[in-house]
Amino acid sequence: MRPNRKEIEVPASLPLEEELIRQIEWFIRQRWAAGAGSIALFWVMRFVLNLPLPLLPLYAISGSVLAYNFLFHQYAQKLEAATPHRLGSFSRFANVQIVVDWGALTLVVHYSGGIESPLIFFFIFHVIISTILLSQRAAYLQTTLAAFLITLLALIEYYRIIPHFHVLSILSERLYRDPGYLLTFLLFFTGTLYMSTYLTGSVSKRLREREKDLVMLKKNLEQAYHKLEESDVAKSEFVMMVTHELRSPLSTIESTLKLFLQGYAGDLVDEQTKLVRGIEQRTRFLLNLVNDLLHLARVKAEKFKKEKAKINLKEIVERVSRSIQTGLKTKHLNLQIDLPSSPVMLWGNEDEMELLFSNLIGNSVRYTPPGGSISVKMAKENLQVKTEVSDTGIGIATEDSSKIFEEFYRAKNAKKMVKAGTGLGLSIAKKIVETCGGKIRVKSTPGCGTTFTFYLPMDEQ
Amino acid sequence: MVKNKGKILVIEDDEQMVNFVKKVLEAHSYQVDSAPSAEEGLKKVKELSPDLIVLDVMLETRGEGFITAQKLKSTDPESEYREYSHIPILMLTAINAEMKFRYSPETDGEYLPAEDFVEKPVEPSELVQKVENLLASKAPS
Repeated sequence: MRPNRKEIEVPASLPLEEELIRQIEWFIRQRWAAGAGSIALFWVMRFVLNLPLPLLPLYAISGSVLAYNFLFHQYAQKLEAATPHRLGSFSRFANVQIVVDWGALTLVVHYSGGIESPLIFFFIFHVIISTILLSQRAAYLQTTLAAFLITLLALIEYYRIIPHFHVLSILSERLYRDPGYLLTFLLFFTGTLYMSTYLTGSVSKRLREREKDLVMLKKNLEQAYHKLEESDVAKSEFVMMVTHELRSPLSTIESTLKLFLQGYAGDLVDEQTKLVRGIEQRTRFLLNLVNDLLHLARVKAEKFKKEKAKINLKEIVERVSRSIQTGLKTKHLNLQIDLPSSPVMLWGNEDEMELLFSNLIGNSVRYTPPGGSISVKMAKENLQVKTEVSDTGIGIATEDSSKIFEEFYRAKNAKKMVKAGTGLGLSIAKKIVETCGGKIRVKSTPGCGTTFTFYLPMDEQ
Repeated sequence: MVKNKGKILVIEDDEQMVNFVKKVLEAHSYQVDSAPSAEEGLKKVKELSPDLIVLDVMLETRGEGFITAQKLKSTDPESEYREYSHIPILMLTAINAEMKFRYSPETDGEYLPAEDFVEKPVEPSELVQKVENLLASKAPS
């Protein structure tokens, strides 16, 4: 089948919800790393740094973190499988995870030295993560919970309700019992937690707003794109309508002029014949122009609604070559056709394919001086068919070769050789090749000849 | 001028085109009548019982000529044009107007209700040739 234009992807769910789902997955992945990392960390602290850590309870906490993370992982998959996704259940889930983490983290801090513990800084990391994940209000509540837990831990250790583990020997063993130090520490620590929440919150809010803008921008772009597409079709339809209307009276004028030239309206004197012939030529040019415009508009309009079928390109080439026999004979041109032995099947519009070949081969007939030769070579290459239309014609100057596919462009030497030409034939050919998902290129040596090579996707089954 | 080679009805809404066909065919000794619409054309078919009909594809609407031809060629025994279905129809179309209608009597004769086509702009000699051929092939029956 033919490749379709890339559709713009529209997200299935709201960006905020999508983001939370993604981040919950990320959060759970981070916890795997944290759980495993903590085991290594405790080992290093105990055996490399020689700190007197109670390894058993700490490893028990690491194990529990991994265990409850497994449960979270299971639950997250269940939530994601359920459709439609509900933002509420995801944010509740995130809150629960963070609360459980606070518990584990407080225990870790307790067993690694309470307020002296170097691991207490992990609270700041966790505040940052929770602020990224949650709404602003929930983030401040979580931070308050964290501050409360640390304060609670410090106080119950201070009042010796639970034992204090002295880990860092350089610090005074009595530090946790010093009310002045305790108060200062808790103030600064709590302040740091709230500052982190505030800073992270404002950064992620800005990021979210920018993302919202991006989504809006994308939507607007999509709309503008569709509108452009529609107006392009409308324009082509308008051109089709106008050219249809123009063609009918032009045909009548042309037919009537032939009456004069062929003596049906009485004999004309030489002067009259000359004038009428001039008019007839101009009229024929107009008719050709109108026809080419109609073809072009049709190719453009039908990009969106084309009658397509499986067609054999070999038959098309044979038909076109039959239709140009008169032209070949009058100019004594030799036409060589080299086609594959098996049918060349293609999914496309038959009229367009015929137009493509008759435009290219017709050009060769037009721009090759008498006695020259034209060749059409077709070969299958992988899933494509490669066609070469070559001639020994006047050729195309290098500076023209990039412009010849433009609408209405005619090369100087072409104008010199054939006065009346619309400059639309090649742009029609290019449009046809491209709407089929193919490519066309030209190679030419001025004065020696031209080769048009084009590739079209095949439909062979 | 003796007008005895046959009676021809031109159904065409473009007056100038009617003049053209008349001029050409009358010069070749045909008797030419015309009708500016499908409706009047069908009436005139009954009135005149022509030997051949020249029919424009595009009349009031695109493709109206085809509908008219289909009426004339209907194989329905109840059709009011039953006795006229043998009259050959020569259709006039704009160049490649509807590429789909590119006509070949061998392949399209079965479903296209016309004996032959002439493309616009019309080459006078082609028109005369086709009219002569159609009338000649009809003559023996």
